[in-house]
Amino acid sequence: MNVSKPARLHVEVTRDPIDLAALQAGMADPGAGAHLSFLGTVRDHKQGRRVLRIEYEAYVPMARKELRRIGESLLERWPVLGASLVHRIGMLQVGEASVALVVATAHRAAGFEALRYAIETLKKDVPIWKKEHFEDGEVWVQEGS
Amino acid sequence: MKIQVLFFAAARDAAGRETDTIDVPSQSSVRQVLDALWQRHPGLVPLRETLRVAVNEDFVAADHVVGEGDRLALLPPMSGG
Repeated sequence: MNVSKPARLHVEVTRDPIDLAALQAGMADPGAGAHLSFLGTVRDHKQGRRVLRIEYEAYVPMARKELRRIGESLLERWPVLGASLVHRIGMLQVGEASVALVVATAHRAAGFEALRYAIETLKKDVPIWKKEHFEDGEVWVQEGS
Repeated sequence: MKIQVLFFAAARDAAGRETDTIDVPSQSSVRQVLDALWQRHPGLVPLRETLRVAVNEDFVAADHVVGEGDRLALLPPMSGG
């Protein structure tokens, strides 16, 4: 077991569709007993209204910086072997993935905690905004949701 | 000195533009830049309590002192994920 190997960190803000399998493959590690993934997708409703699509906007250089900051705190706080944090921007259709997080750890408990921390912090501190498009108009989402 | 201002999401809609350049005295704080911005873009005033501010891609507090050519961004509550 090579415990001195540096952890891997991958962050990305992209207009391209998210390929979760590729992100997972990129975090493959023989020392990992758990690979946890979170995929956030565009939901077709909001408080009884039909959502047609969601438009994501980012302050890209800062979003990258904040994603990296989250990744670095994952590595500091948990025994994470590798982490991948990717957010998509642009116009997304219902069912498409807007965010993907992958965390590789030796044991699952740390992975679940790290993943939860990553998504909650991302929603709070990474400068990305969504505009929901309804049948009768569109609105910037103001609350963390 | 000149500060570049970036507006995002609801703040961009309220200001009616993506960027602006604002002239403020040297050694101005973020608070002073914001006061000048509310005057210049009154549409932003209803949002002022909700906005966070970044300078050169880092979150800063209102007493942060800005410098020539800094990029100050107005960030509405984030809603990524």
